[in-house]
Amino acid sequence: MEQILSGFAGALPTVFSIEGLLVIALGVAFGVIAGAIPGISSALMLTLALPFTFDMPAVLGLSLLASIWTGSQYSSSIPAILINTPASASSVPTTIDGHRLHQMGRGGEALGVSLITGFIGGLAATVVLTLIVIPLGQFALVFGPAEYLGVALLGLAAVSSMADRSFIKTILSALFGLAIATVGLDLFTGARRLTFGVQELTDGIPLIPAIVGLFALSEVAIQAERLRSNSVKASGSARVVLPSLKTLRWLGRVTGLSTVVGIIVGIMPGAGGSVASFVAYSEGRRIAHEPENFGKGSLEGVAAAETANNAVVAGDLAPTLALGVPGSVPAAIMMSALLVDGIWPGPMLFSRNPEVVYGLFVALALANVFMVVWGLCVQPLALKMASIRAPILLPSIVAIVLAGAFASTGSMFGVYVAAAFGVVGYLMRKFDFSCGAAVLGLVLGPIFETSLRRALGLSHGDPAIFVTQPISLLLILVSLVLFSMPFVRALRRRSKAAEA
Amino acid sequence: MASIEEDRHPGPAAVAEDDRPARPMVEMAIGICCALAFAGFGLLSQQTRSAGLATVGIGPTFFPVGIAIVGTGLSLLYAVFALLRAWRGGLPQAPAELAEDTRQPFLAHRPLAILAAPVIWAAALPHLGFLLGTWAMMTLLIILFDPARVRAWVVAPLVLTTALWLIFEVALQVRLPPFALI
Repeated sequence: MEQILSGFAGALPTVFSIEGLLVIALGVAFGVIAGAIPGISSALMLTLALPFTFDMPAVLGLSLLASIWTGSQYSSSIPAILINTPASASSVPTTIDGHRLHQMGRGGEALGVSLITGFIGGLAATVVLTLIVIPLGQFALVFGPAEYLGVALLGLAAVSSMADRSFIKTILSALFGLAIATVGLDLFTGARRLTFGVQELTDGIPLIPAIVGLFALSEVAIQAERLRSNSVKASGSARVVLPSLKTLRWLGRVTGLSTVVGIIVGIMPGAGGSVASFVAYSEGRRIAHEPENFGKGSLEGVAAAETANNAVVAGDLAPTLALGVPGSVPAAIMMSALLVDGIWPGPMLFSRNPEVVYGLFVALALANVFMVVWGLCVQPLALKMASIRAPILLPSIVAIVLAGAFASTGSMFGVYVAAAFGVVGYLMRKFDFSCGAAVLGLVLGPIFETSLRRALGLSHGDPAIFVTQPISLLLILVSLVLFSMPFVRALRRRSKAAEA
Repeated sequence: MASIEEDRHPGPAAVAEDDRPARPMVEMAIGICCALAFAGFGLLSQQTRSAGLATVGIGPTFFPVGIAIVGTGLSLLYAVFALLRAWRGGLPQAPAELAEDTRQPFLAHRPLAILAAPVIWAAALPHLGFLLGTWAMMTLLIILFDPARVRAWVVAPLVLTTALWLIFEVALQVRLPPFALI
């Protein structure tokens, strides 16, 4: 405790200086604006900002990077809600309920909930990180391949929340995503799978162009089709509505659980925001007040995904700072900023440079506050832009997402992938398949396969490894319960109907 | 000319698509198509090009083949369910509005234009450059959607293309294709 207090005492003057506050405010603003553009990843933004940190004191340099990361992590929900286009994979679960709410004329409410619950998740995770960063970092070592498989399964269990018209079609959509995820170089043997001699496919299907195609292009095509019919009506969202205290209390259960999920998944190297938001969405449904509304326009669904998505940032920093093991690309960039200043992450960091570590925590907390301020400025503007007349809005979305697809790969390959997935997404929507479940498979596929093969390799092919590890067993059991929920509900409905 | 109702951004009507009645024969065809696609994927994945390294534990084809087997099985199950539904309930005549709804997308020029635009844009960009290529694509799409409003298809593409160029090329330092016709 003494170490924490002395760390804060050393850090506060730097962070709360005019220079410090300006760095955090500008960092969050850059993150919020650029993060809302599909194709611009947190990693790209942090890479661009990295050279600016070289001339800054270590605390300010890290504060700038953490602020950009926080801002971008939040703002990817804005296009997800308004135009059904997640700017990153971590906002895919937000599109499921957020865009439905927008279509129902409640987009302003969804935006408000995403902002405030994101703030709560980010701030709560920062507080937890501050208090128990070292044990939290060491907890990352508990997770072996069997546990990773359990987490991947838990994320995949979210398909039960996405089943709209047909559960089998939703599972088939997830299997399609898993199948697509196998394309590329096999990390264990170096074998090329389904690359058909195309060099660019060696790295696998690029995620951002695939998401952009599946969600944005197919959505625009569907909306363009509806321009012909008289059934097209205006959305009723006119302004951003922040959730009341009563609503926040009502969302408290889901928000609390999602914060915990965000922190735990965040500390697991390689998992990241997308896995966290899918797992939180899936788990959130289990404890929600209105689980039946998940997938049909639920504020609880938006809160679950966005809280975890924002809590991940602090969770991800725990192993980076405490062990020197970065769990994601943005965390690795932050670690490189530390190394440039001659500061080595690890357990000794807390005794040698406490002002840097606790300065970063204060900056993270402040970044969450600035996130609300910038969010309140940007959201009404975004809402207004989303209500532009469709003949102008739809081509604009196409231009934005194509530029994003190009930027994410740095070549036309990304655009061609987006185009191909646009056609696939359009057909999936026409025939009631779930694009969200496909992305779920695409995101979780590599983690699922890698951990499955690694665990079986460790156990010499004995599948008992998945049930002899307590954490893995628990995660698998919870996943099975979630998977079986649609069947249980269907059976209950049938028995009630028979009784009636 | 487009009416005011048509001009607006799609809203609650989009949610109503879930109310469409089931189409057992179409669903059965979908199930069979999916089964064929997954089976094809399984066969293709067995042609994995080895890098000559020894396989430790399960090999590189285990996972894709597993997915293919599960996918094919589930798709066939779906087709069988659809067939049973058709058997039990007969083959109901689709209402006129449903028939229109299922036929329309494949005849509509607007969604086709949207889905073709990325390919044409990508092919043209190395020659036209980002600014000219994006401006041309946006202008053509807006003319297609709303030919009556000349001001819209003159101003909007110009503003958005310039904004995108400034964001990506100047602010984010992404190297966009330059004009290369000359």
